[in-house]
Amino acid sequence: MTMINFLVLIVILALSVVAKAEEIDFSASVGVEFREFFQSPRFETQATDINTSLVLEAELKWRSDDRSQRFSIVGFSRYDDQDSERTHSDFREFYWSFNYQNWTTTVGINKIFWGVTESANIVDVINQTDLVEDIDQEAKLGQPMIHFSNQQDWGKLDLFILPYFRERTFPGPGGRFSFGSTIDDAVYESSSNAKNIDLTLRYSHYIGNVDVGIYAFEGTNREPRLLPATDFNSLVPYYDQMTQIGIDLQYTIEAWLWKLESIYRRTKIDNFMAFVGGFEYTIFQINNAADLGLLLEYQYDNRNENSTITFADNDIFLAARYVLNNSQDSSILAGIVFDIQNNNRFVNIEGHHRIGENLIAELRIRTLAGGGSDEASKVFNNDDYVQFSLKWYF
Amino acid sequence: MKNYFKSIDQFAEKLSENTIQYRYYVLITIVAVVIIIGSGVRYLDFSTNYRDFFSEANPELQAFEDLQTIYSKNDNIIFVLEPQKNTAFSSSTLSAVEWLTHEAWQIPYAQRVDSVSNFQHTYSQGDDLIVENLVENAKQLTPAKLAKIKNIALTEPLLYKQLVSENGKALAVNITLNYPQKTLMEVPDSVAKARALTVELNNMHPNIKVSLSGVSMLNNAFSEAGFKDMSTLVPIMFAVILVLTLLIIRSFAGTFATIFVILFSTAVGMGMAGFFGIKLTPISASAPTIILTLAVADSLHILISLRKNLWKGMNKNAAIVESVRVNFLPITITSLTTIIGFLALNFSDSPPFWHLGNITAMGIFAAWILSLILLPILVSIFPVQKPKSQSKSELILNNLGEFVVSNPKKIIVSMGLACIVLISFIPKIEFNDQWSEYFDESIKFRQDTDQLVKNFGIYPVEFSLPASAAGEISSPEYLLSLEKFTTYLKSQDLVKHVYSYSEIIKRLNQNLHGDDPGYYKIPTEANLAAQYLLFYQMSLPYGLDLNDRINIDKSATRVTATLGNSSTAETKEFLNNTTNWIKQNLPDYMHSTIPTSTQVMFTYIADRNVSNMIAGTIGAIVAISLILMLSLMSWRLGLLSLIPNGLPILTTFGVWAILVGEVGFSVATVASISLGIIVDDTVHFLSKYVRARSEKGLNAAESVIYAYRNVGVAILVNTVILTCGFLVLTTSTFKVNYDMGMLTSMAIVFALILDFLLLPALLVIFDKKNQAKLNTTTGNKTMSKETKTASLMISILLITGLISSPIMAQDTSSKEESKGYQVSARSDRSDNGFSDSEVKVTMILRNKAGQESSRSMTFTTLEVASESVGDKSLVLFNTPKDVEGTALLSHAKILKQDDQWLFLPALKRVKRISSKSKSGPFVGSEFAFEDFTANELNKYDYQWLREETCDEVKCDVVERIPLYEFSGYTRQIAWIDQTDFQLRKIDFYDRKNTLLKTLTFMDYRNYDGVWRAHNLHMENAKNGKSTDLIYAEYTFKAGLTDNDFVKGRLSNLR
Repeated sequence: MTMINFLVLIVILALSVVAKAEEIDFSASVGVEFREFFQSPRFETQATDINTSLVLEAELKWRSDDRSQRFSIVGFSRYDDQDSERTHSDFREFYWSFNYQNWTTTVGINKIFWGVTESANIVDVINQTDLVEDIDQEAKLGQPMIHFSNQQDWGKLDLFILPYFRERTFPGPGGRFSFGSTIDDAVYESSSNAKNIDLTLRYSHYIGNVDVGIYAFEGTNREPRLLPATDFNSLVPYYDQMTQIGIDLQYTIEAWLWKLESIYRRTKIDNFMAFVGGFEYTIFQINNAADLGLLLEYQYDNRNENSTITFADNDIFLAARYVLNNSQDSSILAGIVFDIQNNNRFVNIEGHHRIGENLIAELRIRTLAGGGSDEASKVFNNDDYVQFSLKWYF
Repeated sequence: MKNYFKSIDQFAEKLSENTIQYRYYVLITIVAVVIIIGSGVRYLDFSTNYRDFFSEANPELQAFEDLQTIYSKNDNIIFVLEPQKNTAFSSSTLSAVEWLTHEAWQIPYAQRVDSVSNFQHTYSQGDDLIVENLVENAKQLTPAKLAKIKNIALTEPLLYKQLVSENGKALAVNITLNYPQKTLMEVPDSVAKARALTVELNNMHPNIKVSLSGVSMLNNAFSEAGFKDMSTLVPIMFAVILVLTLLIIRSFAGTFATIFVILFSTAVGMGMAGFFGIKLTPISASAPTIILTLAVADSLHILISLRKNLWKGMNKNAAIVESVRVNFLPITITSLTTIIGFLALNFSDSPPFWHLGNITAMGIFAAWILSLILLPILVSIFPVQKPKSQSKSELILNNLGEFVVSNPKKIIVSMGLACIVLISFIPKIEFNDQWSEYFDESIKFRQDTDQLVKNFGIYPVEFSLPASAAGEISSPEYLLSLEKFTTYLKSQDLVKHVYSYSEIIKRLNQNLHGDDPGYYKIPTEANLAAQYLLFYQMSLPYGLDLNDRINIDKSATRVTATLGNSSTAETKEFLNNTTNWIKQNLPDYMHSTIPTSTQVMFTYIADRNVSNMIAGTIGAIVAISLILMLSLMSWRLGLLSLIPNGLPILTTFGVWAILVGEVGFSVATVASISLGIIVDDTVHFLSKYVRARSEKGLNAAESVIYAYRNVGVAILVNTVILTCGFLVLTTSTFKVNYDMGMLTSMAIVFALILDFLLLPALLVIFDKKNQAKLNTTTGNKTMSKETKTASLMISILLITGLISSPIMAQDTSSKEESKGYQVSARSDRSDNGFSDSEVKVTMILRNKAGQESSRSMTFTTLEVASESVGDKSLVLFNTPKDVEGTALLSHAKILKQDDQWLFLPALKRVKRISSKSKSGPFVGSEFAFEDFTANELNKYDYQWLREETCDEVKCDVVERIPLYEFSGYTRQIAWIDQTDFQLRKIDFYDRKNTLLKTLTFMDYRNYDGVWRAHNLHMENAKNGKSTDLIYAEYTFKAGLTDNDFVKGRLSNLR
């Protein structure tokens, strides 16, 4: 058990004791997940049997009476029976925040999300991806930061000073979605290594039906390049320095949401732009209650082969989201991403339902097919899976 | 014998080969058939009449019905009022009683209200007999008057300990109800009104503690507790079974297929029940739970075999066929035996048990077919992984098998002794069907009834004492016998109170002799007594007549003895003693008197069911043994199997006798449920054993080892799943379910132990010995034990129901537009200047069946002064826990779409959402988002319709036509009161212009001139669902600004 695992568990335990006090809001959940893969694994090291995993989450929130100060701890811990790398813990949040007039200052570990589209969020840059959690890259690691925010009638300005970099997590050799080899310690372009201070400035606002955000980022690229180690037995994640500007836009008109995210990134090996754009259209009140959302997005990325591989380079995303609008918050999302040039395909079906008051059941089916000529795009071809999970909140 | 197994195997093989070959056709056919049968569920309804729990032939029910046709009906609701003060005889408490006595008439189906205040007090004034209410105008009573009333109440035998507690600190109001028994909503309706009265009473007199009890409350509590269990326990049980199946089968395809089999089986069982018009009761409502649990077993056996075959390296389809082949016989036998066990419930005295048995039997039948046909198809369609390793548990079982085979005698002796010792405790079990204790202390009805028991008796027992001829009840001989009987009853320890006509006549005698206490005795002449009665009856007001005491031709009177807290055994003893006493001490014509009442019915229901079930259970055992003998082609094994089948249940009862000692009606279900499951284990073990002996030619010991290896894991796993499933039931607040869950899991565990130890040991010893000997010993011994089992089969009663009620609609039109606008403007503007507000809200969502779920949230609102722009609002969700922190920010517009942002805490994402349709259900409730923000003045065109009283105030009725083009309504009818200008009610009409839903505003409170309703009730007329919003105290003027209502703040809310 690593230090962080231990620490998170201790804090979670301590929280549950402390939280007896008034004013402090404590909540926690325990989840069990089963994953079964349709095909035999690609690499010998990978386990074949059904994958069982246990997730513990706990959070503590405190807010002063005048609401000027807030304190938050969110701890996360996972045990996985097959992949020791997936057994991990993290503080998703651990910060203190102070609010004075239009200013808010936050110090500590936090999670910040930017973006509007559904298939990918290329503008989302503050937090590192917790890749062992899920290949959809939605799970993020907590990011240490000092964050100043100023809210005005004409919009909101955010300045982030990010003093410490978090490495991306990768599945171990025993787990699925791994590359079949071990991942070595990270190497950085910056001489300060992980202690390079990254800076971001962002402006966001809404004018009528348009929501907009633009930012500039200077610092360590969140996406590593995986380089073969000198002995070719393992991979070394290499983190470049980058400058990036990004914009996210949403136009909301009646049942339509028109969305666009775009970035321009400059590193020492590549300058490129990328965007994701499309719409979400909702058909309301089917049978007086349910909503059906139809989504279409196009992903474009013109990075060169030196950069980190992306699958979202020339792809179309089609999806339907069916929300029952019932007291159990049932919903189903089914979507496909396919590459226009090669036959890369990613199919995702997710269902969500509450049982009773505190139990959430979730079902996920995912298939990935890489049709590209290169080996890299086929690396996950044997990792189609179905996942069932139950999560108990208390 | 070999041929016999061969032909079955061939059939099974053919069957599964064909189904896999034509799998898609078969699949579609099965799904279609299940949907058609399952659609019968829509005809299912809950019974709300506790008489449904007794068969027509039940003698106690007949006696009670007879009594009720002669006198009046006996359903009641009791209010107990307990002030914090030392005495209940204060003017405020008495005025509360007086108010309640008056208001209680509003309870639907109320037939009679009895309390201290309307007690018909008699006294003489000169030659006149004065009959009047004991308490009149309580608020104006002087202390002297109060003391006098107290004195009367504490000495009057008809009041003391009945409507006035022994210590004078609590008063009761008893409402007698007469249900027409036409709809299922009668009981819930009355209870709802009684509860509303309690709330009102609490508001007026906050320091009087009010408790509600009585037969109607009991009936209602049963249905409510049953519903609660159905909606919470069944899903949890389902989840537990799901997780365990996954852990054990370690395959999604297998688990998924299993889920389909058990869901479909349940659907078939319940659908058939619907088509047969079965009315559900809490007992029969446990059928889906039982089907769910039992249906798992069939699938598991096939899947475990499949896993093993795959591991051996067979290809998938061949492995499936092989798994079906080896399991076909055992699954068929177990299904058949289980079905027989459940069908045997038809012998019980309670119709709900017939229903339970029949529904479950149908479900299990479906599970049998589905697991042999649907399961293989589903597994063949979905991908299945080849397992990596053989499970370790098999090795352990192998060792266990060898141990048993080498020490059979030791095991038989030690196990036999242990069982005998435990079973010898069974006679210590006492039946107890004390209905108040069916619920644990967390249930309001239990708390209230405990409160009642502290001060009063709660279990009435009725007697009807006949006279020798019509009119003879006034004869001194009759009256003296009556008095003697009354005195006898009063001398019994259990009896708290006796209500008898002899008490009334003695008082009248005293009154008419100038209130001389010396005349407090039975009149000496018949015609005097008759005259007094006539006098008295003429002076009684409506609803307080003596029809509930004296029959119509005056040939019999009724005596009610109210018992205090008493167990079933005590009650039974009291009833027997009393019947004997009547025979010995009263004249011949009174000997036909028998005690009767709901309590009496409860007291004997256990005995009735046991006596009826003995035949049923013996029949089931005989049939099951025959099937075992036939299918195993061995009558020796069939008889031998009775030992491991019968012993677990008996042992369970023995352990229960030691640990708990008391048992209620739940035991009946336990015996049948566990019998079904226990037999399964034995069958699986024996069928593998027989296969080893006949097919492989192994000897008894080797065959036992073979059976261990091949079916041991399946049995073990099955036991774990079923035990966990039934243990979930023990978390119920309802003792019946707790008992059922606990006893069944115990029985299953014992069965496992016996099947793993005793059965193999017996096989090793007896399967080679002389047949005749085995036959006589085991056969007879077991039969007599099974008879004992039967004698423990017990039954139940009680009731259910509750659904929502319909609403009425109306409309007319007029031209007074400006008046409509003015009325609405006055209402809207009365709200001006609140600047900002924050309030915690609990949302209670109720579906058609009355099941509830709740959400809590915080509403924060910022007033925007301009009438052409809407307010800004923020909804922050607190529960359910999984959506905690989710927030919805709205900037309302008048005629355009609102600006709305949703904050999703898991991703910390803020999402601008479309607010085009504000009329859909808001978080699954009957409220639309539109309904929260709807009362902005300029959103509508108005027309004043009429004036009308609503809730005792005058209201303007205004029609409003929404101007927003995407509104979900064509029009709304709003009731606005003329004193405070607040909305009282709104009828919403949907786009087809039919009444969609009705919103009622209740509990208005004033905050420095700003009115806020604290209880909003929305009732959907179309789907029968309803939603309540319960508001806590508002906080106003917290100094919030526009900056608190921007999207950038959404991530900082908590």
